[in-house]
Amino acid sequence: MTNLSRFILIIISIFSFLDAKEIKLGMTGDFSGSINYLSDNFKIGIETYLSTINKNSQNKYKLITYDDQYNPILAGNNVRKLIDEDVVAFIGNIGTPTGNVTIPILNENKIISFGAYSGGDLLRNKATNEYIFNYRPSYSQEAYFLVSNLLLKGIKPEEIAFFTQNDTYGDSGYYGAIKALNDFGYYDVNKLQHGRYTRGTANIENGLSKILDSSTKLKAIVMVSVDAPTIKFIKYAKEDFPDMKFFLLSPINTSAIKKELKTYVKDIYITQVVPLLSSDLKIVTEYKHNLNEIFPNEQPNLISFEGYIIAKLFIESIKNINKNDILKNDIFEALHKFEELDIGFDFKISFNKDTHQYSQKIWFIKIDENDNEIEANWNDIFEK
Amino acid sequence: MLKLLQKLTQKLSIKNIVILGVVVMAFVITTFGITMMYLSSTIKYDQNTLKHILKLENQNQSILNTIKDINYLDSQITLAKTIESINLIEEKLLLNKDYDFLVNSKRESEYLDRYNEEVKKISDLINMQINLQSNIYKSKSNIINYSFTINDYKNDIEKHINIIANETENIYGISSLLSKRHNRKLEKEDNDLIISNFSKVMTLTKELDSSILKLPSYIYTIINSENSDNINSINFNNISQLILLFEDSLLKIEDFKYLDENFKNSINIINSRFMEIKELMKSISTIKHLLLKEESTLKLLNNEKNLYDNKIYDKLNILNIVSNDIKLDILNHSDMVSKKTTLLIIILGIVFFILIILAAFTLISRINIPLEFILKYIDNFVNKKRDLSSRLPIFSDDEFGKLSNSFNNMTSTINENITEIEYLNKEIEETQKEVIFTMGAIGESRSKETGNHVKRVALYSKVLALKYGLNYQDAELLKEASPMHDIGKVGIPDRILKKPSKLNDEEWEIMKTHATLGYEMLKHSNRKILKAAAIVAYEHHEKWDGSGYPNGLKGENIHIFGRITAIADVFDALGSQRCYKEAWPMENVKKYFLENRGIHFDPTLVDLFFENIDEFIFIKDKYKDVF
Repeated sequence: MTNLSRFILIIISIFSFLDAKEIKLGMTGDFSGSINYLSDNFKIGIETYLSTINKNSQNKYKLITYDDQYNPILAGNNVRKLIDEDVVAFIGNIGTPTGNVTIPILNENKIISFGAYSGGDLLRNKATNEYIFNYRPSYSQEAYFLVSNLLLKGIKPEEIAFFTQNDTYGDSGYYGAIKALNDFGYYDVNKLQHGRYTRGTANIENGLSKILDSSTKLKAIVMVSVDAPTIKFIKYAKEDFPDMKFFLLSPINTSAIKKELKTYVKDIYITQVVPLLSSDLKIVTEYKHNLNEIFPNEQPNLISFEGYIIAKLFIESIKNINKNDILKNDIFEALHKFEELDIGFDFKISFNKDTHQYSQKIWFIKIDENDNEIEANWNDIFEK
Repeated sequence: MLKLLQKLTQKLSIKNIVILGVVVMAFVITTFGITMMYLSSTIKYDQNTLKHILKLENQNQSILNTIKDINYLDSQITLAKTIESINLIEEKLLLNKDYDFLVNSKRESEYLDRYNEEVKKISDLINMQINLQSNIYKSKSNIINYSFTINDYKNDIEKHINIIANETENIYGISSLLSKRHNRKLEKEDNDLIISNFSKVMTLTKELDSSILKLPSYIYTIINSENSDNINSINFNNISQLILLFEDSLLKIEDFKYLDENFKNSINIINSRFMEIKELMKSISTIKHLLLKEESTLKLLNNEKNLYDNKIYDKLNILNIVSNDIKLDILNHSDMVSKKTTLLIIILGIVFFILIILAAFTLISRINIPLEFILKYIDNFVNKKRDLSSRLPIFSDDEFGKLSNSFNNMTSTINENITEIEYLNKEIEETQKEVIFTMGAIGESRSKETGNHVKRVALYSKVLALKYGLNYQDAELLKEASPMHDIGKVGIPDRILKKPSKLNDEEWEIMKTHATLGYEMLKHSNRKILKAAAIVAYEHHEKWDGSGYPNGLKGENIHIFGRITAIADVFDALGSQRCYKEAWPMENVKKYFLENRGIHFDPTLVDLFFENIDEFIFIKDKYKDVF
């Protein structure tokens, strides 16, 4: 490069810097409470993509985050505060119970919440989700996926038990499970064992004792729970049911599982809403490369990957806005006009009209002896 | 009126009148000036007072604003939920405490004094209110502090309750799980005992759970209670029951803590948390008592403040009334001043008018009237309607009196001088006449004529002149002049003049020169008489038909004096006796004149002569020559 062309490049970059518009995006999540690993990683994923795109974009996207400690009231305050700070949209809000509080506020202020980390039904209900756009499938979809596949593999409904968190998260998963049972013609769901635990505790004993009441030999437990009780439950339950297979949902942190349940990982299966990091999809390669560039100290994981995916999906969906000054209304219109798009999954897809949900796909994984996440095969789970 | 003025001012000189007028005017003007100054000063006073009033009104407004501020702060205090916001309000309150706006007017006005008094009262009230407000503030911040403390305690209790509930749930879960597991194993008989113990624990934890569930409602009741007695009753009844219940349940569970290691732990936790809850509840009741007390204090303070508010509003109303009174007073005053000013100007105008008329009339009566009188008097002198010896009447003692006096002196002096001049003049005339007459006589004496001839010719000429229509003076002049008609004979030699025989032609020609000689002698004089005498001497031998000498003049070219003297001379010569001849009889004389009418003599004069022949004869007889 000659000196002159270098000089011109500098001038251009200065001009483009002067012309740059800062677009503020808001996020509320639990950065100091029980699920802070989720929020932290999600944020890393989002910022990886935004930083990458900011390098070459005229518009500079800035993510502003506030901590809600997984407390719905604080989450509501954060959302109001961020609206006052003129964010044009929310991206990657964390949590279902917090979401239940923030959604009415968002609707009231006519501001988009995009790609929230929540499988809650309120986000997918046509009556309430005018301003909500989701990437991930719902928890009930994940649970439906698990139960229907179990039934397809010849497992009887009586051989399945459920262990759920005693709140909307647990309810959503349990609802999906029941829907699957109903779809397979089983309606006697009250006979099935369903243990619950109180959110924020690891008091799994009572729930486990309920499952112990089962008169038939249980083969699978579908768990809609979070890390600590999940780990404790599996440890306890293994005392009573040494052969039991555990089916977990995407919010579970696989690294915690790897660390705490090393001896049991062969019996643990997890649903995911993002592709495996071992796959050679374009989006995976891209994510790994950019994460390494922006956050060299962070290891790739499925949560930050999802953050990366939703950030990309968001930016892609609003890139057609032909305006200098992007307002929250422009984003609303752009999302409602969104057409099919492939962001690196090898397939084109659009948002579901009713659920405002982009992805319907669920990946099914397990952890191998080398602590790698690999795709699980339903045929290998139960010995004939 | 003029006369009255004259009479009134009779004793005063004009100078004094003018001085008096100036003094009176000066007095009037000074009075006017002083009055105007006084009025304008009162207006100025009004203006100052008005300014004050405006200031007062502003002040009223600022007092109102202050009260509004205070009330606003009060409402802020009432609404304040946090100590931070209430601290901010207190800062504002302190800022507002500087009420230095009070008027310190030194006006002596009664109203303003009253106003100031009211303002002072208000300021005192406001200061009291501010003090009250800071008490309210203190009370309110205490309340907020208490509420916060209560809330903190409540939150703490809730946390403890939560923990207790979780631990209770844990104990229950553990018991349940253990009993189920024993059940599943179906081992020895003594297991039944363990299982029944576990179910006892489960029952107890349920009790515990229900006990713990009652706690929030008690706390709620305490926190929302408005009455200290209620709190006490809650404390003494419900809570002591609960404590009993709780301690009882815990004691029972204690018995089973051998069942699981985790039991012990949980029971300890529940115990310690419960003790803390107990302490916290005590604290809450204590603080709630304080809070209620503070609230009632606040209520009292607020009531007191409202009282002050009302008082201040009342005082403000009074203040407004007072300032309105002052305004009204000022308006009335300025109204009165303007009316007074107008009236004063009108009165002074009238007084001025009257004074000026009076002055004018006085001056007219004292200057113009005497002046005109004097002028008329002088005119009379000029027109000789009045004798110089008459005297100007003196009406007054003033300058005109003096003038009249001087004038009188002057006329009498003139009069004396004129008498002397007249006498001298007469002397001159008499002398003149005498000289002329003597000269005539000299002339006569040179001839054969007698001395009376001159006298008679003079008288005849005068009579004829008067009859002819000449004026008296001319007739008199002719009378004086005619005696000199033959003065030229002085230059004729005696041999011719005194020759008794007839004169030959040569001698006659010499004789005839006496006319020219007489003329030449007299013509140089400027005296009227001598001039007339020159004419008479020159022309008394001219004849009507132009046959006379020396110039042969004809008709009316001959001076009337010449024509008259010719007749008088001839008449006397013919009618008088001479040494050389007898007097002609009158018939012959008449015949002669008739014959020579229009030839020698002027026919008109001849006619006049005949008409008045008697007068001539009378004169001839009176001055008859006596030999």
